[in-house]
Amino acid sequence: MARGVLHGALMEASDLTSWPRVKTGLKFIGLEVFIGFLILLLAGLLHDPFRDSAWRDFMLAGVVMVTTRLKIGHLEWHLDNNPTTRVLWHLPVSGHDIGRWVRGTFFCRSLALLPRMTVVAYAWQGFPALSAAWPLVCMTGLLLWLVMLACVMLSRERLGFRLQAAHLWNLALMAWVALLLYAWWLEKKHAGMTELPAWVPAFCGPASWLLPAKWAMHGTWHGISSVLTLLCLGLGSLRWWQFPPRVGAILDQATVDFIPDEETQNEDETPDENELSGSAESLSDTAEQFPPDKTGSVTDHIRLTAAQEASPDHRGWVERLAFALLDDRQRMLVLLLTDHSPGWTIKWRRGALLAALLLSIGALLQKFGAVWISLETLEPWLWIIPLGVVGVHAFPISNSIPAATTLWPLASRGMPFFAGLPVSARDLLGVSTRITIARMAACLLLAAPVLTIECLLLGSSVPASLLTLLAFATAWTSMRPLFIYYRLQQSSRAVRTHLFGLVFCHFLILVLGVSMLPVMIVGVVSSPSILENQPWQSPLCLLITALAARSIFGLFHWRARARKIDWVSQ
Amino acid sequence: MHIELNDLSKRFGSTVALDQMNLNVPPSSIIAVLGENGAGKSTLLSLLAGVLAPDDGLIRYDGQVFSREKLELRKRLLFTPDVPLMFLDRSIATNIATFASLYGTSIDDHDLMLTRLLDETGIAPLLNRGAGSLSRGQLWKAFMACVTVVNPELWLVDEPFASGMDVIGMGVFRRLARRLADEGGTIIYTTQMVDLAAGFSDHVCVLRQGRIALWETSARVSEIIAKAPEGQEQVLRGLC
Repeated sequence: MARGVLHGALMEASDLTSWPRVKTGLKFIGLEVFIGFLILLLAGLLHDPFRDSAWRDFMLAGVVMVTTRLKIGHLEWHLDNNPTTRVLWHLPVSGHDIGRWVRGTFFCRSLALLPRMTVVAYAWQGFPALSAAWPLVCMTGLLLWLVMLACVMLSRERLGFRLQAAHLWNLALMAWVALLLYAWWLEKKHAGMTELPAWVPAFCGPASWLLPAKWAMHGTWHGISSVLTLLCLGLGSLRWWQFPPRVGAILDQATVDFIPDEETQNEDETPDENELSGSAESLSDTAEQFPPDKTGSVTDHIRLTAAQEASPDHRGWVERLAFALLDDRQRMLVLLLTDHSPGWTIKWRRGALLAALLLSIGALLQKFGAVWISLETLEPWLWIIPLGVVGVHAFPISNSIPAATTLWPLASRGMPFFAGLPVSARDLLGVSTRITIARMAACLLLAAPVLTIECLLLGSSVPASLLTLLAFATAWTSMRPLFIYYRLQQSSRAVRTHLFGLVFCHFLILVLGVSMLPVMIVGVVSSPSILENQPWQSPLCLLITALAARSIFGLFHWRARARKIDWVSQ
Repeated sequence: MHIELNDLSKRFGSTVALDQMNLNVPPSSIIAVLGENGAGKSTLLSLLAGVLAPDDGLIRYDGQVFSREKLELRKRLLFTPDVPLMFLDRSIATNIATFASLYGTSIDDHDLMLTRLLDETGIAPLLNRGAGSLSRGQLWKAFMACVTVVNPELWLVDEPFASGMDVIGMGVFRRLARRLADEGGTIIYTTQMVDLAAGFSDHVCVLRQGRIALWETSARVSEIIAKAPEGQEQVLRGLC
């Protein structure tokens, strides 16, 4: 029965290969529903008092332009990295035809974004009054979608000198993100607030004109906006038709170098250019030099070379700290799973420098800029930006496990990186946890002073804030097994099993996951904005989270030990 | 290493890759696994290496039930897919040291053989070069240096005769495999070259539609090939 439901006659009759497609489709629909929900939440943030403000236009146009930005990346991926493009390029197919194929594929994939654009139109036209005129909403959605396609086509257009249209949109989107965080902060700070500071709409008005989505937001003829929309669509159409010959000309002239190396793919943690060039030089410098002395032993040479590459001496103090927590075998694993130099110390120093700079600017503004900027306006920036900079540069996020679970660069059988070696899931957990502890300690060394200075500048309670920071760091570190589980689960496939065992296992994971919700959602999501001591920070809550995360990993490990898992990269 | 397969089965959706396979491989032997395309040869190696898990059945190494998380057993075997698993951004020297470290062996114990192998294959001058810069044949030769230091009790090799190695490399492969077998190890490799399999193995195992169609000594297979002009095809189809 179990097999019948999971992998049995029912699915076999309808062709098993269709299941992954159905699964992907369901995931996509789920994602779109989630994004639609976020958009409506955003629209809820722009409730009635703001409805007619430039602020709302800017926010919703930003949503469309973020999607546009992603689609620009997709088009580039289809051109540069899509495996089918690579194959076509090596076959006697003209660049023009490849361009047409890329354009067609891009168009088909983009169709799926029509519902998202309709949700944006609904958010603009009728939310939250639920008074939308549906034909108008649908038409606006279609118009926004067309504008999005046109913008993708026009993104590389030069506006003069070296400025491209995409550069302007990027600038506007940076402001969009910052203002979104600002509004969120104000909502948190002042529940029931009815209006934004006057400078916000004053800024949003001109800024929104940089985003073509704003021009099309009305859905009907609306003066200069409609003229600009038509202009955008017209130019976009022109570039759309010119796409195959223009791309074809580039592809026909391209050399093999145009097609990127397989080795450069699947790298989640990209090292700095300097580090990369440094490591490449070090390898090429020493290449062909052996044997320097014929009398020298090969084994000595191997040992020496391996020791030089493995030595943490030439690395920064964060790397050395992490290495100090690892045994020899784990160090070897880290060397395999990370880049030559992961650059943790370099990033830490950069974060420290930027945080110091930003705090200094904040302090100066507070001291001398009080005439033209209020403390209330300054507050979120003092909070968000320096801590954000510290987070981006020093916070331990992935710790190399993605590298372990992605495809082996050359193996044709889709094996994850570690599957062919005597390395267990528990090994990866041990390495990753220890690196996280070391990097978290380094991060706290930076975040704690930054937070203290911020609290002193803003008059908040220092002990409470530091306690929150410590609780947050503890929660994140203790959740590491959950992340490892997620990564390993992504690179494996459960083999046929009894339905009861599978359901029971997933039920347990669900229960354990629910028990982590207080810390995961309340703590991790909202802790940056809440300084007061919260229930989620209690030791009991943190302990439950740590145990739950470890138990979820334990369940996965138990399944692996029970031989129920295939190690196959997705 | 003594290997036992009991009712080993593996399916991928509706495709049966291995169907209740039973096999008893004696230690100190070289086994050539033959079969048509899609017969389940590579799946068998992946199951033996623990990269894939069986749907049914058991694998026993020296009497112990095998699973991938049993690291002590895993350290006794080495898996070489059709393209060897090496760390492409590291030098060959580091790769050799890494394999020794991961498998808990010492390079010093294999100093002489390693030196000879590196000289013979022409890899010695390339020790400091990144593995990613090597050709496929060179990569195989470099990997054999890793095999030398690991000294596995079970070496699972996928398509060594289609590795891109020159005749020198193939000679080194044969000698290395024979030495490991003479020391009590077991070598299981896949190939589609019937004559090569008969010439370099103790037993030939032919897979057909996920089942063992033929299990014979290499001497007997050589006889079959010599008897009839279509002998090779008959062996590959397990029709003897």
